Amino acid sequence: MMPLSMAEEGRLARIVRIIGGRGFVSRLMNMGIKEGEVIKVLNNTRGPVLICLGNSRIVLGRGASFKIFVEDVKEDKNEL
Amino acid sequence: MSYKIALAGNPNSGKTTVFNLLCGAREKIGNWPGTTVEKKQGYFIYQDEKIEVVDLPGTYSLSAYSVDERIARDFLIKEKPDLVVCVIDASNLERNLYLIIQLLEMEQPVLLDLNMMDMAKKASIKIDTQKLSKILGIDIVETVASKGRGIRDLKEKIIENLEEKERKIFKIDYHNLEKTIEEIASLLKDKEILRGSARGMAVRILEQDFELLNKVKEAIPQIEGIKEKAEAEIARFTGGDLETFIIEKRYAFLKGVVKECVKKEVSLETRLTFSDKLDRILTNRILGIPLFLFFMYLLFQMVFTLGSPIADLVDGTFGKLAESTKVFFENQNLPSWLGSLVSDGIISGVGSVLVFLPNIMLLFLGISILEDSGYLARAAFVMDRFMHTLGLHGKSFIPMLLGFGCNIPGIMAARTLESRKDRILTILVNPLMSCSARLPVYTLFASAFFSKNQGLVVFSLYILGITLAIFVAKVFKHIFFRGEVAPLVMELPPYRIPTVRNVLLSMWTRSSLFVKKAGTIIFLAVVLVWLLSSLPFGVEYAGENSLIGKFGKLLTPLFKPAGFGFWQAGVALLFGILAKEVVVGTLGTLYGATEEGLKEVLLQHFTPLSAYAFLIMTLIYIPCIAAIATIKRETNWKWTALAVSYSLILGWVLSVLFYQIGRLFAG
Repeated sequence: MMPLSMAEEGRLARIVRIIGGRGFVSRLMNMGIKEGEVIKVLNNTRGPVLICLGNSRIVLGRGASFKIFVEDVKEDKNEL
Repeated sequence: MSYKIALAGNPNSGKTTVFNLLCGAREKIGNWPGTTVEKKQGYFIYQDEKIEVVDLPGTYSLSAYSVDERIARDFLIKEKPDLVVCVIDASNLERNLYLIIQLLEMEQPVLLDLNMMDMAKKASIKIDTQKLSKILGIDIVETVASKGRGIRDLKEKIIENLEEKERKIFKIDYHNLEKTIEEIASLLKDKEILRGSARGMAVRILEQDFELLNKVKEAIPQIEGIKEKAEAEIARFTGGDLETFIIEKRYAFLKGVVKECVKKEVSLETRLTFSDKLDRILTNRILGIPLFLFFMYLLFQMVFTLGSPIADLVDGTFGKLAESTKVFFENQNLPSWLGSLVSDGIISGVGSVLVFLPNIMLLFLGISILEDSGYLARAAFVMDRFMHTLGLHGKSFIPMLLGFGCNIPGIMAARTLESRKDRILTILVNPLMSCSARLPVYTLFASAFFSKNQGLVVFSLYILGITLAIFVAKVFKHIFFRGEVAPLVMELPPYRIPTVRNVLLSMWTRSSLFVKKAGTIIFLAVVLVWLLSSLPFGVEYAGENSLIGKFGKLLTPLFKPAGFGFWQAGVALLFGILAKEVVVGTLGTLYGATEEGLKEVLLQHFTPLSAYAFLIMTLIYIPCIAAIATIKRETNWKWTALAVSYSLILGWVLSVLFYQIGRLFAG
């Protein structure tokens, strides 16, 4: 488990935990960013991260990407 | 009879394209009351029925986290449209359906438009629409709006759905919360304070909709206790809070729906679209920032190389007009004060507003292109890390950068920030960016006093401004906006080629707002200054004995510790509030000298030390009238007063400090 800000570019990752205030977590959840979701890290500039979730491309700023914890997803497992 | 329907949906679901297909050119663009968010309205006629369509801002849910979401929610809940057409991206079903079930919970009649069916097919997603329609109890239309497919079906279904019909009551099972929900719902029903679904309202209250809670608190005082009890129970049961619990339950329901209705051939490798490939370059870790700076450089070049000649032309025209009006009044033997009011006051005043217009329009043209193409959102991503060190986030960078050209568009560009905190902070420090109007003052003094190091002196003032902005932002954040920066979370739209119509339209709406709103305030201020300069009667315009001259004299002791304690400097700074470049012109008039001669005169009055102190003052003190008016327009009087007073105090303190410390060293 690591913060999204450390995730490698081009990798798939599963969201394990989101920490932060009430408004923050539910705001993300409303956008579909929630625990258990598998995302792809398109771009990571050591802080702000660009992810691909389903068909949308979402930017998570430096403040946000430190609060989302992910784990690696093995490429060969069909989990999307 | 005419009906009113609303288009709702997630951002980037193709909602606007659907709107354009439905209404064509029969649209009206305005602003939502009290906001700067665009409101699009239109209508279409089908089978002799006139259907009015309102395009709501893109939202993920009815929980209001941003201005856009609040508008959409308020419209849906308060205005109760006859039908909501929910446009959803078929290739992203689960998240898109979330809004729908919230609408259904509120017993809002909904028609589902499954858009982007082609994308879904491409991604090998098969949707059983009949089953979906049955589970949700609503009609579904399939469209591919980008290719104009399915619009006739959509219109037909809209008409069909406008007729009264039995609708299935939609319910989600909230397990442990059911009892509480029913309890609140029956209380709401008894009191009859709200229209609409009592159960829906009850869920919203538990979901921390404080606006709603406050509304019913009076009639149902026990409601807070009920809520607290539920909160404690959920915390004990799941360890989480109410809001998260409710959201999770909705998603759990949706997961089931998607499982039943959607067949997806699993492919883990998300296909990289053209947009993604562009993003690899434009938001690249190494290339991103240089490319961004390059685009900004282009923008600046366009705004100032194209705009400045036009601005000069406007300036010249108004100058001539003022001149000839004066002559005209003299020839007609009309009282000279009237001629002066019209030429020095009104015409010059209007001119001083309009002179900004070419630059502003070009700037908004550029921003509209960047915005519509999808690049502006990327710029925020690229600059996020740097801006974080200032306590702001990526989106604040653009307003700051624009401030170097002119603070007015800079301040206006802060609109793109969702969080009020970020917006106000960005606006407050914007005037510290040395705008192009301050450059003439810098160059005049630099060439007179520091001829060997002109460039360095001017550059140092720009740097001083930026440093102060960082410092002031930190201090204000600490005083007024404790707590964290609202983290940047935003969806990137795919890259698109902007349409000429949209770009011109948004440029026009924004520029005309500037003229209308800022114009009136600037105009009043200009007339006031004219009065002060002309009274008492018969005095030389802006001379030593005019009110403003006397006022300037009053200021003399104030400026003495900064090394420029003479009334001309005071008056020049006063006039500089009209527009910073006026400082040069005023000094010229007061000393009765042209540009070259002015340097000579200045050398007699200022020392290099007091000259630099004067430049520091010019940089920092009070934003120009147009900027003040814009700050007022974008915020309120309280923040405007703060912007004026902090800059005045900071400017004075720093120039005095500089002069006094400098004197110690100079001996």
